Amino acid sequence: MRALLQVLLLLLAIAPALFAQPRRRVPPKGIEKFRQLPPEQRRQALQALPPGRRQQTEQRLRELDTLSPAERDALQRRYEAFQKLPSDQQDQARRVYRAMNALPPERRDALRDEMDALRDMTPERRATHLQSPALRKRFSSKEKSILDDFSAVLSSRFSPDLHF
Amino acid sequence: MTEHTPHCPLQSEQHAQLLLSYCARSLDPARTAILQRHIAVCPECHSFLESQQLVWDALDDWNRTPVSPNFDASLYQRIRDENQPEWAGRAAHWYAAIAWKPALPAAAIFALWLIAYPAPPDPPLPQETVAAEQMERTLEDLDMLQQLHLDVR
Repeated sequence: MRALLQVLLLLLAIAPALFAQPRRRVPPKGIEKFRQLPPEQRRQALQALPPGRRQQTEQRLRELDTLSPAERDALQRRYEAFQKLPSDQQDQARRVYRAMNALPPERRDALRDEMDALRDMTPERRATHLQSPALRKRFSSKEKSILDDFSAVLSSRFSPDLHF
Repeated sequence: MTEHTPHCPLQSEQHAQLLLSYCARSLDPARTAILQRHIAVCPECHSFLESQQLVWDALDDWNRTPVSPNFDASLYQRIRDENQPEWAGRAAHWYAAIAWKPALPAAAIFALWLIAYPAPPDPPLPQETVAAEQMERTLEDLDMLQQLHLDVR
């Protein structure tokens, strides 16, 4: 009788673990994770950021909302592929992006045009072009350094984006 | 005292020892026979023997109390108690008085409970902070992929 009681107690103790349902449903990933946040919850979440970063993040969320479902799906796939890259390659792309955005708007536009040109070149052509005196005349050493890093990013596992 | 010794054992300290050994029933048979012959004719020895016999009878009637199984443990405990402060002694007594056996099933259930429901890891950063920074990081990456027109092969 006593042994039976002990077994019963044991079963009662572990029953919740044996029959437990998954505690959380699978949350939406990436873009949708943030888009599906109710406005109030989104606002509360962003409260944790300093004002400048909060405004920038809110702006990016608004831009995301302007994309069509197909564009969002394509961006989501690119993001997932990007997440699978080695972290050093991810960081290299982020460095280019941040350095470019730290430039004054007019220089940023000039750099973006040059990047578009580089994107259409073969790796050999890019290397030759980046050493050309004409390019050195048009860009400062800092800007040239950003272009060199961008070329390195293109030469790694990135390919030119054909979606945008 | 020997067979040829005419002296009464009570008159000699050395021979008196023989009489005591006889009373204690530890004397060898040869000397016992000699002494019994002397006692039969000696009133002093006979009287002494009777008094001794009373003592031995009383000892025979005494029932020895059996030693408890935990006699040694109790003895050592008492010795330790003598060397401990009063509160420590009381605590030790209290601990020793607890019957642990009934608690074993409960302890086993508790251990299984811990296995089934392990303690949560260290508390994470506030949820809002994590969500905000994660959101910021993800949106920055998305903006980067769009601005740099990058796609992974």
